[in-house]
Amino acid sequence: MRLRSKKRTAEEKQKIIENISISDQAEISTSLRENDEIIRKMLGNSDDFISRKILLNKQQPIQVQLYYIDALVDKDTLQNDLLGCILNLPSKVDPSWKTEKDLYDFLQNETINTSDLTKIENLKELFSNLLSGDTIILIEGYSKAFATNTRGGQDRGVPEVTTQKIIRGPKEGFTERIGTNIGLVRRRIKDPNLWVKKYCIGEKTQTEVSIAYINGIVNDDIVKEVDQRLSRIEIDSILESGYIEQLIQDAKYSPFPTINNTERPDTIAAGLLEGRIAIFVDGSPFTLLVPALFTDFLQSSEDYYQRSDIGTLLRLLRTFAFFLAMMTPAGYIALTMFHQEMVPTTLLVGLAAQREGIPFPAFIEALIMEITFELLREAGVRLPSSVGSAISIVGALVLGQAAVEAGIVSSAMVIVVSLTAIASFVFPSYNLAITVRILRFGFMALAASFGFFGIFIGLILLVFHLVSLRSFGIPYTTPLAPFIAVDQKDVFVQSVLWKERTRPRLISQKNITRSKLNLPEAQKKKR
Amino acid sequence: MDQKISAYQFFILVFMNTLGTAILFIPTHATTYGKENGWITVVFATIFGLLVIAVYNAIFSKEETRSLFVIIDDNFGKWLGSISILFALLFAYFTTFANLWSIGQFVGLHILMGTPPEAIVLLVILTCLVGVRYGIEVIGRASEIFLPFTLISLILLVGLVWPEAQLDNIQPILQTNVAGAFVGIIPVIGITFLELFCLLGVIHRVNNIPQAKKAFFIGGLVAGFCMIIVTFACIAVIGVDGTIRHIYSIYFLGQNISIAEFFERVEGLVAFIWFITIFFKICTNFYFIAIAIKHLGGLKDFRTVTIPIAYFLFVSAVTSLPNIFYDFELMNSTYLVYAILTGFLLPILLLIVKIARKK
Amino acid sequence: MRGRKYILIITIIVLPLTGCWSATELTDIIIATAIGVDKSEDGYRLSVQIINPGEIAGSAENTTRTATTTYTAEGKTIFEALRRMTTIAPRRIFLSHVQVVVISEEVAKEGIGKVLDFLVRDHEFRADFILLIARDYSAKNIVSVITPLERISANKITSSSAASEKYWAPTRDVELNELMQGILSPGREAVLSGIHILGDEDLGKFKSNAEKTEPFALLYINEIGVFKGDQLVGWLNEDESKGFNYITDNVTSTVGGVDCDDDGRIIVEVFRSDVKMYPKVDGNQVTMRIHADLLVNLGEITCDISTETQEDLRAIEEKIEENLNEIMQNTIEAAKKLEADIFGFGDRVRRSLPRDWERLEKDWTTHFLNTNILLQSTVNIRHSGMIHDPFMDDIKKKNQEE
Repeated sequence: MRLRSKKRTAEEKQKIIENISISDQAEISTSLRENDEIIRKMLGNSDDFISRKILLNKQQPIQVQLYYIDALVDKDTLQNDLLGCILNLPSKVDPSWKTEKDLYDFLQNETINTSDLTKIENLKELFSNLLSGDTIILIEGYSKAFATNTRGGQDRGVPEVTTQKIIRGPKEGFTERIGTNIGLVRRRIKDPNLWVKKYCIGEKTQTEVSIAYINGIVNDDIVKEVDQRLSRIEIDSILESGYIEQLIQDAKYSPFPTINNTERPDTIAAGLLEGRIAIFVDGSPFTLLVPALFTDFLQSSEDYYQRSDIGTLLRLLRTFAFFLAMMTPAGYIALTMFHQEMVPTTLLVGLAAQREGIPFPAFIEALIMEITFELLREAGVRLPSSVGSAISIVGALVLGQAAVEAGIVSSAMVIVVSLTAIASFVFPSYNLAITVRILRFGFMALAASFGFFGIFIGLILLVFHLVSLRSFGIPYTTPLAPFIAVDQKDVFVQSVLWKERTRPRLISQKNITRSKLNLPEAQKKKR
Repeated sequence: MDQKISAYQFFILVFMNTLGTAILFIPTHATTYGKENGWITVVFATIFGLLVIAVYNAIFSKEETRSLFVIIDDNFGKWLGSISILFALLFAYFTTFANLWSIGQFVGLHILMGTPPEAIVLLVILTCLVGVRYGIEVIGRASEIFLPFTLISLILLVGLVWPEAQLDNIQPILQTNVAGAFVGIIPVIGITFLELFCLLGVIHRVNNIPQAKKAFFIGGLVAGFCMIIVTFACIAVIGVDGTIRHIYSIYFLGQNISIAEFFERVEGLVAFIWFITIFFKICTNFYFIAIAIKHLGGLKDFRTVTIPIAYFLFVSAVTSLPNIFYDFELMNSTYLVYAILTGFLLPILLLIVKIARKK
Repeated sequence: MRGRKYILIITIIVLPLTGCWSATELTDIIIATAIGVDKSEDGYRLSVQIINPGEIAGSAENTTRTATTTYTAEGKTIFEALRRMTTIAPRRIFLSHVQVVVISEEVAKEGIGKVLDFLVRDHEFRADFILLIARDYSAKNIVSVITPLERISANKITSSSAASEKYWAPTRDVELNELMQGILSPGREAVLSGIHILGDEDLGKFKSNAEKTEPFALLYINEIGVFKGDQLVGWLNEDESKGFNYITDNVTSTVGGVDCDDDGRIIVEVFRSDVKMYPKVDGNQVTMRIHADLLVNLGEITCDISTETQEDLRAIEEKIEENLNEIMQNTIEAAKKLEADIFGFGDRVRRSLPRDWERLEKDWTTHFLNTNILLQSTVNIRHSGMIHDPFMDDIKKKNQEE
């Protein structure tokens, strides 16, 4: 069946071009020329847009037009699997095929070697595919187009993790390619129940966002919730997973992160196995993991790769570091300004001696030092690595020695600030480190006005806030409050691996059991 | 949406509510009456307290979904019920601002010398306001977070002063002052278990009523045990005279700790235990007041009245009590009578009417 | 609804900015470590030892300033005198770190009750300072002495008081709470150790005192002062002080010596002492049985005596027991002479026999004076040091040979 040939007027064309972004239904014309015109106009004759005309079957010529964006396609695939095939097989074209299906079958089954071939119904889809790196095939006289997957272009490969370094464990990290990322996870969980659902978010960017979860472990309510929240997003662009995070998180005005992110495929895999949901975003190596609980941010995937005693120790250390990073300057201020009687005499004398001649009150002194340190840290991140060492010299000399020798700050304060800094670098998660940095200043202000009592009030408010948070319906402080006894095995204390036989209660409510085998006992029996 | 708390959270609230204020005042109070037998006074007070809790528990049947106020209304009728609720509400109000006042006094005297109590009270009431507006669920969970720290502090405190305990100080056991030891039970119960009446306003929020009743009982028991230990430690370490003379004898107890020359002066521990417990007590009482007013006024949301209540509490706490001696007098006279009326007679009456109605 | 919550949170955040009522910078206070209380014409003369942090902490540069300074002020009461001191002192005096309170003998004889009220009541004081009585010297001079080794003399006083109580036992480390119990409880009297200056009290105030191998002045804690109520009524000598510590079961470790038959001495180191009192009341007659159980090591033997057999050891043990009983007896005699029940016999009776106590309480002093004392001591020798047989015998033999 020959499809209706309908010529469009110039006005109609213009209309389509104007409305393309809104109208999904703008159809592909049967006329190649008309299509060409529309596509070119739409892309503003961009120079990286390439089209190629091929004439198939000389006896009964069929005009075929290929479109692709230069930088987005993989040239090898394009040349070998697509162009090669089409150009080499003109004689084979069977003049008998007339219908669209015939043509599709022909292309699909006999001509084109690329991994997939999809039929395109309208212009919107066409652009979406074209701009994702597919090559579009248009055929004269047909109102459907075909997209072949020739996606490629520059890629970093699978890089080493940069933000969440560990000693023991896999080194590979996510990349900017969503396909690669999902693949890295799939390679770890070879289970048919690992389901992936794709979304396309962002009016302009058309970013591919995928959620992945293990069916049967995941809490279906949470999947539904995530699905709803993702579908509800209306925004023009998604440039990084941070956009998604901010758009779907529960506590919009909380300093605490309610969504975890990681660069590590193994962390994602572990999360999925606990019943969490991963959200991959194309163009970002940071993959989101929901629901995220407060204690997750104090845990590292490495904990599980080591013996449980080491893991426990490290976790306790991190918990300690959390308080240290948040409270040290505040505690110092409270002690020196309000509670001198609580300091042992010898220490107090030492502190008093250092404070002699310091022009600022302890609070101001702490504020100056903390702000300087934050500046230094920020500068260190931005600077190219070649000048990075300069910053550390300036920091060490200016902050450490010169300031003390000049009598502007006391050396105890330098110790306090360094301690805070070291402690804030301990967290495996950068989000929490930032949170702590913000809260630290609040606590300092409270300590400066009400001493330990102020810190205490701050703590209570903090806890009130923390327990009121939820991450996708799960109370943020689970399993501490509400207290879940069985889940305590994997919070601050990390139980031995063979005893961690259940998944976290609230996150995954079905298929709780991890392993039925009590490993060491089974081994004992063998002997 | 009705907020629910777990039986465990309810247990913690009971624990905190019994210990709040009590932990600071009980050693002095009990010892004033019972001398060497002060701790025995607390033992008996705990036993009686558990009886009181049993009465409280009896008010709620197994499958109860009604709140305390509805039960009162149903049994006493609308008018009498409203008057009883008002009576209980005023009691809670009284307790709350007295507690606020004592926090202001204590902090102003021991922690922040020179800071006006008004500022401290304001800070506390505002923090409580935040908690109450979040609702009972958040209060319950927050108490869950703080419980381990409270218990650890308590254990540390008692463990650290233990080496300095002189068992001589508690002798003779029940030989002299026996009458005093028993008379002391009433004021001790008055500022501990009878104030638990406010928790009855919360109990229907627990997702499992039979377990909540158990939690009520165990909470009272554990808190009573803590009070006994603390009173015992006070008498054994600083002696009867010292315990009676110091207004905050447990704080003084903390000052006695000295381990390894460095780990000393940890009375902060005491302050911490006390703050936490009294804080949750104020929160629960505040919540009780709010939901009682909500019930009386037929309001939709208790949150609408929280800010005015906070304001009134603040003003009352700042202006009502002239000094610490007055507080002590009050605690042993008017307040005691009020506590017995609300915390004991009202529930008993309620129970009698309930049983009579059933028949 | 939401907006109001934020207003609330903002209020809480802003509130602290109005605070700082009670903040005191470390540079605004001076830390007091010792207090001396003397008598003045119409009240008390208060001397406060404050420390000069720059001289104590950090790099030990030699400067010309002393590590501690003493300020003195007079007033009708302690509190008045202290507040008057602000006219002399450059900053507020911070009392929480006071470790020692020295009361002059004159004040102690008059009664220390008036002094104590402020110490107990004031919130800044901590309960863990020790109290001492300045003997022969004024309290002012005592807190002014500069000590070698410890730059803060209050530290030196506390540590040497603790050490002497622990290893020598003729002193008693009395903290405020114990003193108060002693003064207030009906069946017990208070005690306080004495402190002296050895050497020149005026030269002791100079920095050069610490620059000599043999300082001009040293602080020396010894002997126990006995109170009756809040008044100092007399002193126990060194042996009696030790006896006092034995009876009140306060000996951790001490040495004791007995004379041999010849001119040498046997010195033993007591490493465990367990003393119990068992009261018995018969009508109005109180009998106090005191049972002492000592474990000792042989520390030094400078006489010709054999320690080979069990009998020999038993003989030594008996000697020590006898000596111990004598010391305790003397102590009790001394206390009876002062009519002060410092051992807490009355307290003991009250706890064990409360019924009898109610009857005896009224005129306990008489009953105390009439108390029969039964002393029973058991001494066991555990070790003999690194050698087992003394060698004085062999030396003597050799000396005779020559």
